[in-house]
Amino acid sequence: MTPLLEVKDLQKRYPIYGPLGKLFPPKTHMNAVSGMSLQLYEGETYGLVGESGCGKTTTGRAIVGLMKPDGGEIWYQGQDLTKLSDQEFRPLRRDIQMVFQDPLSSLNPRQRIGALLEEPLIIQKLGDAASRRQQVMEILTKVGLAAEHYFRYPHELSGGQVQRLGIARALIIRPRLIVCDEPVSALDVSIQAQILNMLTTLQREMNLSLLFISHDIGVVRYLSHRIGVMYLGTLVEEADTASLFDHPLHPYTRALFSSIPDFSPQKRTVASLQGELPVRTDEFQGCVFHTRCPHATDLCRTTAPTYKTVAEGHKVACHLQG
Amino acid sequence: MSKSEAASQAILQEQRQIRRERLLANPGLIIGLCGFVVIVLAALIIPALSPVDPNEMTVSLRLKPPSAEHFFGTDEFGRDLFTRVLYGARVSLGVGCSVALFSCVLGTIIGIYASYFKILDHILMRICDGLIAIPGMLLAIALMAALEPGSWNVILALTIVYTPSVARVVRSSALVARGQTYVEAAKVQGASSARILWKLILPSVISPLTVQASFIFAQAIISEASLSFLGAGIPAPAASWGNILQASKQVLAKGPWTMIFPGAAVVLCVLSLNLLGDGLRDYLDPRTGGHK
Repeated sequence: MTPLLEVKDLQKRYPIYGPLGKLFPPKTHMNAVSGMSLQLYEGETYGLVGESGCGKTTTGRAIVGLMKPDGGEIWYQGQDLTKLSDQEFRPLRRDIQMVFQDPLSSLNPRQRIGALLEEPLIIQKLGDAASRRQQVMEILTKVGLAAEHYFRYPHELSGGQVQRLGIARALIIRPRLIVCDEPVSALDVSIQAQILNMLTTLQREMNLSLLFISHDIGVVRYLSHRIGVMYLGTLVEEADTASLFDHPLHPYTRALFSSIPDFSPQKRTVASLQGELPVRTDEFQGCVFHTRCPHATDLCRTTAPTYKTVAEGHKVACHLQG
Repeated sequence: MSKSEAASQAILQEQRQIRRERLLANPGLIIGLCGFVVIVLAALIIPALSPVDPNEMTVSLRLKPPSAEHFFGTDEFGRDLFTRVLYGARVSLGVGCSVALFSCVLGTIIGIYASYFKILDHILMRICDGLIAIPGMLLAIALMAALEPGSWNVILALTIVYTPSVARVVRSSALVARGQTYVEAAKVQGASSARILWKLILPSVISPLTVQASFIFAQAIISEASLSFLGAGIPAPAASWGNILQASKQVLAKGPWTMIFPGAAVVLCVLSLNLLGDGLRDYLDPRTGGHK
């Protein structure tokens, strides 16, 4: 089966200048994303987890074309999205939509909800006024909002309703793929569950592919068919949800799993990782995780491990595995 | 649908109520607006109704102090000063309004494009920096020296002086708007640059622009008066506040009213406009409790 979307060796780097600033060429680069590859299949949910600053949002933004990567390819329907001009990308935008982390700020505060939802249809030149209105009404009920919200402004809705609106806005042009960038992290837990359930239902109904970006491993586990664990700009482990939770292989994945709160009285402390996320400059050597890995060897400090398949659909980048 | 329309009507009603209350809590805005409206109406209506010619000279009536016949007295050529101040108001308000309008339109176009296209930004903003570096009055005088005297050239010169500051204000507001997630969302939907610029970014620069426009209006009136006073503005026989003040300089000791009334007109007009601008800023700025 060929993937719907394939990211190959994506790279995004930011220059770091010396004390004299831009007078001289950059001293080195901060590699926000480097060597990032993933495949997304039709109708699946791919969970991308990792801590803040690991590059998961950057990857998502590159896929929807909000950020031009410095290297790598993003293949969709035989076209490399990174090579397309804005004009060439425009028709494909219909297929690839995004749900933002902060739903309220992603909605134009000056537009009423009806107009807001109609906007993508107008931009993509879909249907006439009457059919657009019809579609807006349909999508409103589909995401659990009511017709009476049509004339409201987004700031008059509650947090959960606003994210429903954000999802409705992404869905109205019937995309095939939606990048969800932490769509529930701004919501409280009971609302999170409602939104996640709605997303899974809609996904099944509309045969959507979701790239679900989150730092919350619990949320990702609930929703994803496959999970990629990202660390310092690259994937360190990828597997389907069940086998990743049954046999986490990478030390970082294990540390991440131990961060899920366990409320049994015997285990009040969790084995947390020491130290901060290092900066991955051009000089950075070895495995991305070696600075914080409890099992790091000299080999880990000098040579980057290859990303190898250890079991059916289970890939890991670690010298200690396979 | 009727139920929801009723609900949205109620919300609109509530918003109007809030706006009315905020307007009343802002006396500067009301005073400025009233003062400005009175001046504009006086300048438009009274000369149209009054048969007095502002340039008619009557030697026997030279330098008469204010009286029931000549409210502001007469100048050294026996011209009725009240009529001349009102005709001068037409010129000054016309120049001020045109300068505010033209520099805002031009500055908005420059500022918005500069905020969105990086190469344009570098070019346009360096030109603006260069223009801002020259003191405004000096630039205006230099431009008037190069151009023929006349009201359209005063407008042109002052527009060149004030456009860069508008462009800066618009650019900085547009940069903020551009970073908003809803602008990114529009990009993801496939909106064209033109749609993003004029439909999403322009509305967010309107309120700082309005405030800026009222200040430029006031400054342009002062600048026009200064230029005319220095003889670099509107040529002599025509009434303009600067011209009247320039003429009064010769006879200040014998007829101080020739300076007091046109001077007061400038002060009142500029004061109203500044109050209006300050009031508008408080009214429109969401940080002082406004409605987004």
